[in-house]
Amino acid sequence: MASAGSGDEKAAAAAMITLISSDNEKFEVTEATATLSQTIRHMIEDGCTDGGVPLPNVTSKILARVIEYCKKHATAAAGEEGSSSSFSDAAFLEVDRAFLEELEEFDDAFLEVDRATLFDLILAANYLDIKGLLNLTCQKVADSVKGKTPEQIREMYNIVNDLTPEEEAEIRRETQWAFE
Amino acid sequence: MERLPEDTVAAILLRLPSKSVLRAGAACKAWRRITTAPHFVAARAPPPASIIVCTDLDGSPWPHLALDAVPVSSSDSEDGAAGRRRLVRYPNTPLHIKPHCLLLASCEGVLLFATGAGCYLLCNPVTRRWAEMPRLAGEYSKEIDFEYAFYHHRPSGEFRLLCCSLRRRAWFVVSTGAGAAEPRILKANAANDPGLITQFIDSLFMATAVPVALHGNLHWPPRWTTIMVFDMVSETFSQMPGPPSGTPKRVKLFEMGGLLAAADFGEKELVDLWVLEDYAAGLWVRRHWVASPWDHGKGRPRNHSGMQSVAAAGDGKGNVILGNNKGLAVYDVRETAAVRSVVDSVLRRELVSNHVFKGSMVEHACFATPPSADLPFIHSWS
Repeated sequence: MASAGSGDEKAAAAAMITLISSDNEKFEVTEATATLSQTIRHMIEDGCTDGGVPLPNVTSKILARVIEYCKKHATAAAGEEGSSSSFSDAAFLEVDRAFLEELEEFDDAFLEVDRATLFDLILAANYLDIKGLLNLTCQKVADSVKGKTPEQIREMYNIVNDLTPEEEAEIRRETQWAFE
Repeated sequence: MERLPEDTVAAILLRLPSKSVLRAGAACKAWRRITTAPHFVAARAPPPASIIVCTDLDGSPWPHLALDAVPVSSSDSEDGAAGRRRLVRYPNTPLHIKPHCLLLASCEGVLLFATGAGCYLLCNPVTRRWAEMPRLAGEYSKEIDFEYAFYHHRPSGEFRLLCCSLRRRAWFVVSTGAGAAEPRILKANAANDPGLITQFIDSLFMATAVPVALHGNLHWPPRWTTIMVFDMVSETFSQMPGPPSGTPKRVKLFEMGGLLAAADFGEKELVDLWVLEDYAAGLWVRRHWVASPWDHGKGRPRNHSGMQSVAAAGDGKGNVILGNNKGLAVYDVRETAAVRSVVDSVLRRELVSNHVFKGSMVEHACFATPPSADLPFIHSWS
């Protein structure tokens, strides 16, 4: 990707990290993008990223999506104290409104995936410790569960009902108001 | 879904409103376990605060009274729907027809009703449970206007009612866990002399000064310069400085995002909002001035008795609701004293109470025993 050329390009190249997916595909990303992941940030701090970072829990298909997310959000995170903090009110106001709207649109589009992919993204965000992505994907699942009956939830997520009829009746009796 | 680790599922379910959490908990054993785990229950966001508004409704043979919760902030409500929610509705019988229910207090999602002759009912309108306090023995029930505070005693998990017997010159406590009718008398000392304390605080029946619970203490609004404080664990009284207001008898205390706040209704056009910034040091700071919720001050409390139906509540996001029947306004105090919206002028048949309600799904032990046969009175939830 980055070819040795002018001084600027060399500096940028120096800050590149190679991520290696479970199926051995290599992705080259900037340090700013990679450090949205706390897991990778710690590896960089510990100086163990030479020769690439193997990510045995993430497939190339999912890693490509995760990197897409990180690239977009790295710019937004640049003005903040790392990526760990949630948006503080003050920081929120300083960031250009138009850019935030664009980011929101990006997030919405990003979440247009099937359930299996959504779960893979959650697992990857969890493993790589990317708070923003984890929040985004967990909220997507939560929104889909909100207002649904237990039957609808089971059907939607292929959950096997292993509660005995007695247990189920007890739950409904205890908290009947929630089922009306 | 089974691919996700349990703490991730927990993180997802934590984002749901109460009703949806209970429904999700009925999906399978694992979700049941997750949603009932103590750390899950503890991690859920604190319930949003509402003020309670009473509405007169037609009914036969007696008119009915409905209690509605009007939220400070509507963003957290179930299914994203904004606005008020019906808590409970019951016959509004005349005083001499028993049971006559009178809303006395609201504490941790539980409403306390006095039904006369030493009987008290507890109601959790969210979980739709009723419970009864041990009935007061004859001689105690003959005291009048003697209930001063309703609180949750954390070490025992009991709900308690603090009462004052001026005849005996003593404080006594009725507890949900006690069983026996004989109330417990608090040991008398110089700091809790009933004759002295009752100069500073009003009874729940008077309803001019509902105490505010925060940091394990109850706080009554200042009568003069100090605030009377009751430690809900050690059950002792103390005092702390009140906001430096020129009109302390028209100060309403409320909780705002974990801080004790005071609204001073002494001025005509403006309401001063004080915040106790340093609790230990008793440091009050006047943080905001907001426009009066009343049109040119018409309807504002003119004296201490006028505080009876003044409501105030806040949340952790800078929303504050202030007012009474004559006007009720929601303020966003993050922006400079801006009124976000004014609740439509309250209807003729409505009465703003000064009680703050924070719904709770916690199943307190006292609700495990249903009230005795003649209770609860006929009520409905909608």
